[in-house]
Amino acid sequence: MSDDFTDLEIELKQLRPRALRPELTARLAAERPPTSRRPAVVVWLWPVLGAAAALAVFAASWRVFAPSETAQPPESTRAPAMAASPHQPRMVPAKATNLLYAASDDGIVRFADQTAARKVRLRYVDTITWRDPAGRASLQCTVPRDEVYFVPVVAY
Amino acid sequence: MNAERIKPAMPEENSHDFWSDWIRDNGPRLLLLARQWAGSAADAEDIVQDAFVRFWRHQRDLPGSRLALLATSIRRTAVDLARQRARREVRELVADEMLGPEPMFETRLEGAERAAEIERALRRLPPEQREVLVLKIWHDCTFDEIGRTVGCPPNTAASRYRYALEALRKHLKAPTPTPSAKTPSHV
Repeated sequence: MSDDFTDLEIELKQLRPRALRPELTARLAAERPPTSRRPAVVVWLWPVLGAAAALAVFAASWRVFAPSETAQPPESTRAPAMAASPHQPRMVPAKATNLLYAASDDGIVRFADQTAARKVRLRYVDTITWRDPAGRASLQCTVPRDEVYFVPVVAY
Repeated sequence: MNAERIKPAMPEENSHDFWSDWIRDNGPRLLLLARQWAGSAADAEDIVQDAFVRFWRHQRDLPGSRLALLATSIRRTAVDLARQRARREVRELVADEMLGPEPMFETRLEGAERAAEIERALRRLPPEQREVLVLKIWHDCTFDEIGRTVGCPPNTAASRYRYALEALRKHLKAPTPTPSAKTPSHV
């Protein structure tokens, strides 16, 4: 602004707005959102999702490949191809790998109780393979997974 | 292990400490902004509380400065309230009635008279000029930011600011120099 008003601006800036009354501060504290969302939810999200996905795939493969012991349709109603099949595939877990493809230091975090910890994130891809020992069929399930560790930090 | 010193971490954004500090630092100027339109200090406090609740529930993840978001929210609510009151009650309120009797600034013994004089002069300004003055002086906003907050072009904000300062100067006597300091020492 113009220099003509500099003195007035300085004088105005020296006035300090009134502090909040304790009653208002207390009202705001009561309305405040709950303290920090702990990252624990995130930590377990991928493993849980991964496990659920693996279970779903396994269950699906079981339904597809395992012989059903109940409600077998009569021989005459089966499809010709199925009837001609030499055996029913039975999938068994054959291989499981964990590939660590990234590791990162997400810095220092402070919990609600004021303890400090370093947040380390490891990113994996888990691959589980099922095979039919009698045939050539196989099934592979690949699931991303994050592991987050909180390493306690001590300041000297 | 090396005696590694870590920098003290800032409180997490959603933590109790973070908001306590933030409200202590910024609450007074947000309340001052609300006072420019609210009918009383109590109304201004309600407006500030509503704005914080709205921010925490719906606006926390919005991009941009949280101070600017809260200022815009407070200003909008306060203007709406003032318009409702004007329609309902009287068409024109004298400044003291509109702002309420409670002082807007911290008062200290030294320079209290000058502070009161400035506040009286401030109350005589139209609210459109007062809010620009508040945003410029006590929120350190640029005219662009003020324009976005009050919904006017930056040039208009600059003009209102200049008019406000001119009017204040007209209403105020020159500060009386004190023997102990050359600069005004009313705070």
